[in-house]
Amino acid sequence: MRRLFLVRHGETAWNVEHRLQGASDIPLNDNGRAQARAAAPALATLAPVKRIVSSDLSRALETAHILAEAMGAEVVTDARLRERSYGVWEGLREDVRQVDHADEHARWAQGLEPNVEGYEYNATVRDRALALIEEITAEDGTYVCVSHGSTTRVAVAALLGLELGSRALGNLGNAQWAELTQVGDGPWVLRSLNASSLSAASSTVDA
Amino acid sequence: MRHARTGFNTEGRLQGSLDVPLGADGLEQAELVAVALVAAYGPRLTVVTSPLARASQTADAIARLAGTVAIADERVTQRSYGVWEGHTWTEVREQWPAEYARRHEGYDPEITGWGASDAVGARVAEALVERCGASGDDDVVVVVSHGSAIMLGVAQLLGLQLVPSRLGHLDHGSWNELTLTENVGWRLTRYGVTGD
Repeated sequence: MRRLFLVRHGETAWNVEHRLQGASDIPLNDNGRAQARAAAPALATLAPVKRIVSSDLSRALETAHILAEAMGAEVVTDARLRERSYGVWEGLREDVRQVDHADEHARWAQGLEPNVEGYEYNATVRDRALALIEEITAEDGTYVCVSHGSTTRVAVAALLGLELGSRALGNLGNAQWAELTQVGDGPWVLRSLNASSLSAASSTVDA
Repeated sequence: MRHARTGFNTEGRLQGSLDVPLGADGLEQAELVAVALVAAYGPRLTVVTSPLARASQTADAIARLAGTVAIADERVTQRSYGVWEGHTWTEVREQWPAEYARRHEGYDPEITGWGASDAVGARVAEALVERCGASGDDDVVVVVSHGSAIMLGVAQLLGLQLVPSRLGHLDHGSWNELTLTENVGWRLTRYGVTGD
């Protein structure tokens, strides 16, 4: 059996400000580091791996190092786990996008992909993320990847056979994860999503 | 939410539509889960339950804590396991090897009385749509049901393939969280939260 844990990075200043990060390299804030430290023991128990594969963006990489410390694991980076690029939308809050990019924001709000410069489409994100996942899960075992909200959502949707633009799956919360398993050539199955922190259940998972 | 564990669960016997009540440890688990649920979502809950005792006893523990009364809804009852009910999986494998193998691969076995996945998914989803549709914004509806019924109902709502299931089995007393909004529709925000 293959067990795959897709972990989202801890909180950043831009998460707090509700600014789209995408490929922008925004570091963890202190709360984000605390979230990663709080998540580490549970993840280390569930997935005691020797190697974590992380996005090379610093918010993911620092999260991965904090988790790896609890497991005694090494961290390797792979740019295929990076966040979707939001192009010219990066750094912008939703209210700003709504005013300055009204048409494309309206498409995005309906669940369609915006046509803004530099935006990375779902299919591209899926192709790179799944290529990495297929590569690392070639054999049975437990695998941990640290990535980002939009990239993990697209990857999980693809692994579960949902349309890539589907909104049926909520985003991962900061330092939360999705666990999926696959037996042989069978389908990937969702085992848990945002399930690790009870206290977080009372707060809204960032959509 | 999946009901707390019964003696049949511990023995690995299939229950389906059999009405097996909670034992002492199941009742204790229900109390713990009720506390966890109210801690997570607050006491203002609407509680809906399968009429089977293992679910309604779990729901009663939650409802008591929330100062309300659980409402029974037949549509969230467990799938029938037909002639397999009361047997262990080991017995099923020995007595129905071909149908066991089919089930093991995630497909519906062709045995007398089996509740077909699409029918179970449809009735559970219908109940969830109706119960949550009738609630107001920010209301929290807790539905206590059963392993297969929950997986199928949730998969149906989300547009996931029902057979073989793309959703894993839930532990007893664990829950999923779905949100319903006008813009997005149904969205799975948590899966497999363990309350005890």
